[in-house]
Amino acid sequence: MITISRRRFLALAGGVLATGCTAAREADIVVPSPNDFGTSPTTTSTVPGVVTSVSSTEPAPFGNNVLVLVELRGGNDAINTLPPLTGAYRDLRPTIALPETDLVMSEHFGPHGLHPSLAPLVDLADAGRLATLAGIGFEDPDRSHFVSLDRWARADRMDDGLGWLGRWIDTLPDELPSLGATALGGSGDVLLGAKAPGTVIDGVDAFAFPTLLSNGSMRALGDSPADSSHGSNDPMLAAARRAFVDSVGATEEFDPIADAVRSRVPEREPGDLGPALGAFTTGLAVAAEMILGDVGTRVVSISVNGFDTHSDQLAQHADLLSDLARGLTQFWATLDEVGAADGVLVATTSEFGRRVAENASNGCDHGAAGVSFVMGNSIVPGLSGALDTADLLDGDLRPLIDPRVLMTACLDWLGADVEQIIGQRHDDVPIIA
Amino acid sequence: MNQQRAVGWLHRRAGLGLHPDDLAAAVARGAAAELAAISAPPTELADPWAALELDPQDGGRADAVLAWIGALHGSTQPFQDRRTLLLHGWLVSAIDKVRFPELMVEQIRLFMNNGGDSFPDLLRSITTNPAMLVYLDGRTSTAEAPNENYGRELLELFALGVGHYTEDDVQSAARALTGWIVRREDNLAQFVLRRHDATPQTLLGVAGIDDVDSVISAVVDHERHATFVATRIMREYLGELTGSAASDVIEALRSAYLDGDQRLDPVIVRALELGLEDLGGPHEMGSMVLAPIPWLMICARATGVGLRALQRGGSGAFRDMGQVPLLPPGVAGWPAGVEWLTTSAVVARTRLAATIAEATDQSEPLAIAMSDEDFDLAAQHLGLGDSFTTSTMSAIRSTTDPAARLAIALVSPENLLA
Repeated sequence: MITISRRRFLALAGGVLATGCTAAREADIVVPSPNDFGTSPTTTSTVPGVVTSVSSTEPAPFGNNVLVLVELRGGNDAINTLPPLTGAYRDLRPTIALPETDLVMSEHFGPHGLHPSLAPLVDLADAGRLATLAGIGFEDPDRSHFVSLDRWARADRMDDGLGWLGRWIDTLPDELPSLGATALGGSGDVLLGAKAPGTVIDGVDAFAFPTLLSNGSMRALGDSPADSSHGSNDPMLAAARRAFVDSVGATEEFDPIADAVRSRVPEREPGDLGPALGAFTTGLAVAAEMILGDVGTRVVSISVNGFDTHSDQLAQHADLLSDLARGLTQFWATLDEVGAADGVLVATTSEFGRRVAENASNGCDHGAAGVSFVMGNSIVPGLSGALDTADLLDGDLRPLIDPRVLMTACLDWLGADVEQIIGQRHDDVPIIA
Repeated sequence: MNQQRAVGWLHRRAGLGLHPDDLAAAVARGAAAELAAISAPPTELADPWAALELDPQDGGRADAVLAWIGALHGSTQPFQDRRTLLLHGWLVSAIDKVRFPELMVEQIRLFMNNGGDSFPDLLRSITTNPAMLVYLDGRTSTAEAPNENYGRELLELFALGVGHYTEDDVQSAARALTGWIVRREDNLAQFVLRRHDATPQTLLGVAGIDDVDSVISAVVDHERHATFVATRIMREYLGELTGSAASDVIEALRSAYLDGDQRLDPVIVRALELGLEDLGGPHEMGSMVLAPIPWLMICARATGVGLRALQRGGSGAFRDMGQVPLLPPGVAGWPAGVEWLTTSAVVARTRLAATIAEATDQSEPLAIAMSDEDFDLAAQHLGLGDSFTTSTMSAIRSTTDPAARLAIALVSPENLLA
């Protein structure tokens, strides 16, 4: 990933600080299964009906709002997520348009239906806790994943090589604790600041150092005095040294979180072929435990791959959205049950939407505008914007809502100085009530 | 020049590490001779999967990965194997979408067998490679509905880079490449004329483009292509250089590409020569983070630990470290640099280092050097020059357990780098 690598390097070489790092990994949060050389994104082992019990942990006292970003990586097909009820949708998609009878109809989505996999979100919408931003995307869209990912990660401000949340973290008077800014899967690019890289955790079970080695030894690799003979100003050596300090801190903090998540996941009964525990469900369960676990978490970025649906998209897209809806509703139920939801805002993102016309592979190609959902107890609920097939931009949905509108809301939520971080406020659509 | 350091650098940067006995012999030859020797085309090409009947289901996937890891572990052609890994992360396909292990393996064989040939020819071959036709949807791209997935990535990620083509170019390439399918009965690529759009397209300003050959010719004749290749090789072998250091290197590598019949090997060799010059002189280029697979091979080969012990480390270890063979995370391949060192990945590498240390035979030179507390010799055995860093030394001295000490050496910041 060329642009991001360079940007990270420049951030390091700029001398502000040589840091550990976050990765452009697109691997998902998975519950590892044995004998596994790489699990496909959503088919991991195996737990039905997770996260129903109340955490034994008391809710953290909320002096500080929390933001959870949920990234649908690969370019979510907005128009099958939120199919317009009128216009050319069905004509342009003879094969992959969703049957009208399958759509979920709800007043909260205006002149659109909702993908049947997202039906669980209707309860949240009925409760006034869901906002839908239809037609979100940057002006002058680019159909490259990497250009678009970069623009989203940096709020379209390309001068400093940092993520927009990383810039906010840089403004805080005190360094965040180990799990203060954590990416669960994905790249963590949005968290990259000049002072610290953010923590990346890719799975629940393997995030602990081996018993052979003490935390003291591991910490010594990073925090004992730097050295002259091996190039003490080598930014990569400095980054590797810092990675050990960060990792020891993060594993120590994460240990009880992982235990709590595991305790919520019942053993699967033999012969139970219920739905697998997907990447969104796991990631959001971890996020809930972090928020309840009083570890100082302010931002969590969850990223799940698989939305680049050029071919045979129907089943794959349905599974991903189903996992998303289940993860979001369980997350919210977990927090709500202990009264911790008021301080939490959730927003979904994706680098672009997809072409309105289908291709010949039962899928669709890269497009422009997409759709974001925002969840919270203090939001302006309902639909903003629209997916309008009558006014396309080169075959794509036309961007109507600048992503920086969403970012402005998120930064307000965190109490940040919006102008300092993304240049100027974007208040075209009210999101926070 | 310090040959101990230079030869160690060479085998860490462009190879898969060496057993201490082999490293000593290489040091005796010297870095220049060693570079010439390892970059010479091998006389015999082994096929890691020759004896395997690959189950199309999940079992075959693990078998295919393991056979490749085994071949890397015993490699006598580490330069070529690193080039294959480079190509696997550059002209990317991934088994999660391709599904059939045999197709992925056939693509890796293409890189092994033809990676040293003309790069334009390799681009021609990969364009109709069955795994690629599946991965980037060429097999379903028709005159009626061209799928632009491959055309876009060919221009953006394989040969030119963002900003050097237009959306019209993407569509022209897609149209000219329509008509290829993968036959169900034998998984071979086939051109089907009635699915092909024979209308001549204009691509990158070149008219009359209507097939694989003309598409690739237009792309590789583009002024930007050699710079793109040079930049890619620089990033792979010398890291993310900046400023005039980068532009000088790119210019040199560009010439090496154009003067070397557009083959990659002369470019890689030139990059390594420049790296060795820097190592012996100004030492301004800095370190690179080793990707997980080369790092693992360096550890296993230096300790003499066998493949079976690595398997005990858990086959999920590759995923946890962030690099599963045959499964690049996306069409742009794997990340690079500090992006390999996430909190999660550092923990995973440490777990694997502990497994390797515990499996190391006490009669191995590296184990002996560690137990003799001759830590400078241990650093030399790993190809790290003359000593460990002072912080690694303090970590090693924080324990008396020999396995723990070896594990610390294997996962030390300097051994994660090259």
